[in-house]
Amino acid sequence: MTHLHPHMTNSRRLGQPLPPADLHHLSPDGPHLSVHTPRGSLALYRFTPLQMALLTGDHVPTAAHWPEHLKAFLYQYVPLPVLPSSPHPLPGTVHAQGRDPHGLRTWDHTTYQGWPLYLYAHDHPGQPPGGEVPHLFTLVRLDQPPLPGPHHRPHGP
Amino acid sequence: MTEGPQKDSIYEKNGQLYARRQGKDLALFVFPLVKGGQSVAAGYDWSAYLLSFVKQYVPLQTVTDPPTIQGLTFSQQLRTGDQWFNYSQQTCNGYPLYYVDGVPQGAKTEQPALFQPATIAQLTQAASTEPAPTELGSGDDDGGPTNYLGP
Repeated sequence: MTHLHPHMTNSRRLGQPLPPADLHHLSPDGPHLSVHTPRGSLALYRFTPLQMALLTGDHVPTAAHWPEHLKAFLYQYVPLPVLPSSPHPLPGTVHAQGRDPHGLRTWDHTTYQGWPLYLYAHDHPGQPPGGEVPHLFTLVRLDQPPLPGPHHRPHGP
Repeated sequence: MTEGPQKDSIYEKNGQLYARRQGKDLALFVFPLVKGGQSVAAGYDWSAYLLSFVKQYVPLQTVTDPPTIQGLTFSQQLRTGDQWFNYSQQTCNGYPLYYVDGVPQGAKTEQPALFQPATIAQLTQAASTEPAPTELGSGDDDGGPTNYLGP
């Protein structure tokens, strides 16, 4: 698995599905998991339908393979790249998974308890996170139970 | 003389459309990406793991007496072949209208590039690029079961 850390700017507008360049490491933020930056912490999200998809044997492809009418929405959720180890002990397991090399977001993807982690492109440090959408994306809790099911290939948008 | 059951209706408040249906006030939504002729699969045809999300958005059945609001044209489309909601749906400026049960006025509902609140600004901004309301949902079968707009 190769780690292609993207070199990019802080621009996080819709249609520019790149993570900011100043991500440091994972850190606790109350009951939730966040990523530390010099500007403050940013919330992390998980794609909640992934659990049902895995349990039913369905595969969730990367965003590039979704229908056109859903891509613009999905690209607002940016896969968290691999970061240096956290100086804060975390109760869950952090790993990385590769992503589809044919998509737009090909960097390795950090997982927590098996759940691929996402940033929301419209979030800003110091402001309440705004990326929760019922039945689609929710904040990641530190005590998040592991993602069940087989993990033999990358999954999630 | 007694009044009959309260009719469904649509009204505008603070620049956003709402429906009053069976005594409830419901925020109305649109799926903005239907504009420009982009193909959007019907909700029942979305991936299995997305059904619990998309099924929250219920097509608003046609009301008998839509309001008169400057810049807005109300019409309807038939959801012929829809396995969930096979009825006539209210449209506004070419946008099919949806509601979510239990989402009242003022709730946080912004979902950029997905379902968004039916605001006057949203509905009038792209009105010039919309297909004419009379082109929607003719009920013929030329386009298969999803010859109507929106999820």
